Amino acid sequence: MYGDVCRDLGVEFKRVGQYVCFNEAWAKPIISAYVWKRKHIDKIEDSEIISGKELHRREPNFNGRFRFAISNPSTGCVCPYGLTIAYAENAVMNGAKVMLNTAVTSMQVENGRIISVSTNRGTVFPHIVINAAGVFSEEIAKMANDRFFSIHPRRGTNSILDKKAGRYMHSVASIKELAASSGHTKGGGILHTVHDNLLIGPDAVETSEKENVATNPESIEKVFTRQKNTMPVLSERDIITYFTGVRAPTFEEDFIIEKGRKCENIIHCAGIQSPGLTTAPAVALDIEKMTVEMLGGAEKNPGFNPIRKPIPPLRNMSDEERAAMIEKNPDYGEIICRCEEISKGEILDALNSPICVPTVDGVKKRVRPGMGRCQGGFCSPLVTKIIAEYLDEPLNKVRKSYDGSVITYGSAKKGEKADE
Amino acid sequence: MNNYDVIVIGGGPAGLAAAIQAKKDGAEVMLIERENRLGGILKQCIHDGFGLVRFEEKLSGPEYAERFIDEFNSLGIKALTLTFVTKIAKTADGFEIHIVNRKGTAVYNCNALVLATGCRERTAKQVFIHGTRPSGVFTAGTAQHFTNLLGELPAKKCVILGSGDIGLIMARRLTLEGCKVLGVYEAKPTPSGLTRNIHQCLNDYDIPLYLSHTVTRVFGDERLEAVEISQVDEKMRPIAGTQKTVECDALILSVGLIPENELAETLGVEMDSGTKGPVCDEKLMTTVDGIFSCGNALHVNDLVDYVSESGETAGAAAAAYKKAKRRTVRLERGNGIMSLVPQMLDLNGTTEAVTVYFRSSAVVNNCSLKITVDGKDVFRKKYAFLRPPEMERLVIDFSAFGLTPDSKILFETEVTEK
Amino acid sequence: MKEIVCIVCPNGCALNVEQNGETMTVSGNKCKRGEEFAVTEMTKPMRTICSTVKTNRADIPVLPVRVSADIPKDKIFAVMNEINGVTVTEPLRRGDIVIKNVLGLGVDVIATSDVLSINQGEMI
Repeated sequence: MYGDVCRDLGVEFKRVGQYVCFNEAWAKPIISAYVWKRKHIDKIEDSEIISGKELHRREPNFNGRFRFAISNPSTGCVCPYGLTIAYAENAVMNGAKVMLNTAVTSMQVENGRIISVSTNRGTVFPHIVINAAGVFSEEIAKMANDRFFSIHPRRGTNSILDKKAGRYMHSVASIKELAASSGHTKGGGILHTVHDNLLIGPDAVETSEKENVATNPESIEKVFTRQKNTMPVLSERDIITYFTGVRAPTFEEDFIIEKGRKCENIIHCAGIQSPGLTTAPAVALDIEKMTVEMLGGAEKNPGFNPIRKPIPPLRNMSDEERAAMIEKNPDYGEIICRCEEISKGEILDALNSPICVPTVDGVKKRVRPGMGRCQGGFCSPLVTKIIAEYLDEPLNKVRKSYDGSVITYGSAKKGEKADE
Repeated sequence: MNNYDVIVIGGGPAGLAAAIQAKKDGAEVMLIERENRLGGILKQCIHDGFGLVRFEEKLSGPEYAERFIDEFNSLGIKALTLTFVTKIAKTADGFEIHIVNRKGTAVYNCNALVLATGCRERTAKQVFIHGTRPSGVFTAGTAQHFTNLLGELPAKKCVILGSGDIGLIMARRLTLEGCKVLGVYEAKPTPSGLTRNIHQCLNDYDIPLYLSHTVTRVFGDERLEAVEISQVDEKMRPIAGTQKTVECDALILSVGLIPENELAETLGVEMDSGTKGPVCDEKLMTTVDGIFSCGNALHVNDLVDYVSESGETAGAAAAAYKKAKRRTVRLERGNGIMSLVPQMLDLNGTTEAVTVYFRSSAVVNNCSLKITVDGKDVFRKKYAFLRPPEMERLVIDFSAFGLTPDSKILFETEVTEK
Repeated sequence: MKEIVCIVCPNGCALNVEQNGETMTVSGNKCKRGEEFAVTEMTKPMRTICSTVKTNRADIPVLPVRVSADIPKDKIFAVMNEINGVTVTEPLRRGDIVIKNVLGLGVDVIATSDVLSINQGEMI
């Protein structure tokens, strides 16, 4: 599904392949049986076992001591926020409304039916509510008198390494430790992102705080120690940034994709954790089916256009293609972010997109200025200025992300007197 | 006309000096600059102190840069501004430079290439500052850009991490603009910047300097609200139990500069782990024939006067460049030498007056710089003191040392006996 | 005896100043300027200020300036206040006067860049 979805939405998707690596030779017969099942019963046909020697040939920087690995060539990687934004924009292009900065505060429920949903910006009267509220999905369920699950937040921290380190490996890799229990999720790994960085992580740490996204050094150290087992050449010195997210697992560690039990017009899509990103397109089809049933039938929208044209990535174009784009729009020739080679034109395209988020982070997520080696050192004043001009506002009105994330405080200079 | 003898990439003080010198030496020169004005980082360094060695005047950054820009313009050298180099390829005759700008794309050819691409700032994540991701965390250069080019204050109440010159200069600058600078914190036990800057930027304004301290965390969901300060040990590792919270709305980071050599690396130029810049000979030619390096891309400088000097050396050599075999011998860093330029000599060239720049790896008093060739002492110079933040410059006559490509030439510092 | 650091040049010599009644003895200086600095620093410390001044140009919001000669250290913020009160509306050149004889100190505030006087399309 992924290839088609990404092609339609104009999102980059690379089937980089995946290796699950093993140190224990004795496990090979058991794992081979597992792979046989994947191939012949689950129909993942290209799944196979490869020898340690073959693994080393394909990924020379991996630890040479691996005895064998499961190879899944069809595993791919995608930019998770890029895909999310693309989905949202395509929905808006087809008539959906996206209300950002809007928090659901309560619901009016009568006789097991949601009548209205109140937010900080007004009240809506939906036929159906789809609860995809992540760490807060239990609160939403409670508002609908339909809470039958609880969320147990779990933090994960990822590090991003310089593109130079991206040359060390080209796939998704992890070690399967059979001896010790390694906790939940895949236990983290190393992956070569679509942007050619390396992503190292995540770890998994239980937390009671649903929105605690502060990083800490212990998570990075732990992840690096573990992942150096897969690839000894990994170095913290290549880190350009790190960030933490909070997963929303349920106690049962399973997804909850079902209609409400005590509420007749809610559908829950909760408890999503790994492999949430991978399963999203398939989960969406399930949700679609349930929604149609709940509506008592629905006709397909004949005018629905699944194709989204992405912002042109000029840095990947030939000189000729690029020159043609610049002739139509000279802003495409003015480079603002020199680490990632992003032009003013692409930044303005991001601001002019179907869901305009005129903040430094909004632009960053869409076209990448600030994601390179210098992490916005050179380009952030320029990007801030472009946003201010776009909004026709003074520079100090531009935000990094949230409303309170002021960047500058205006000028100390009152300048009442003209010069001599 | 797309063919030049010399193309200079970078229009800051290094690139300007290189282009001017190459032009004066008779070469057809073009300069490529990615910003919309020449001058490089000096455009935003509005404080004075530049040019004391070269002009015996205390100029501000723009004044220093514009002297060169005026000369550059009067010589009629072609410059492409707001132009970005996308690719460089080696050709049989030299180099092919692909650029992009508002007019489109273009390709230029040159016989010799001067890389004057400057440096970038080390970031918060590179010094492992943890916590949330609020606005209000700036590297000093970025804060300087907002303040001095865009006329906007990035802070009202700030903490500065790093006592390098940039941090000290910004401490004074922000104070003059009405910001409260709560303190400058430095992980090392000694300050990183010039002593006179400690005095005229901190002491003059009663801004406290805390040595052996660092910032470990930031707090704030939207804008910065506070930072966590830790004392550090001699290995600069935070000491548990010494953490303190300081409320502020900005963290300004002056934690080091990193030479920018992405273009050099794509061309296979060998890099030096000491300088983080290219390995060069006495003409500032890298290990790739025809590619020259100067300014902060070569090694991070304290004095722009030396930047201009290195630009002139590189520009002159680029103008004179003809493909010829080099007979090189490496100059090696021994005890006490953190970085050394040049890192090799071409024995087929002239080595009677080679300008050598070096940094000591520690603060040492009453010491000497010692050069040995195959274990034998050939040169000594005494210094009252050497400090890592202060790059030293001297001119050495290597022709008297009887060097061959197999000579082991070692630079060291040694504490001299009284 | 007072220890001060000379700020005239990057050497930053550590100076020792002995005051014996009317005479002042300075040691530790590598040049004459250091001796002169020590004397003024003890009697009437002087400093330079570099700052920026507001302009009426959206593309170049501020112009860098400095004082044409050292001013008394205790007048720094008063001079800053004067600088902050001005808006430059002319295309000044490097060295042009922005404020003449600021606060009657016998010193001007001058522009340190040609940036305002460059025409579009010129090469700077």
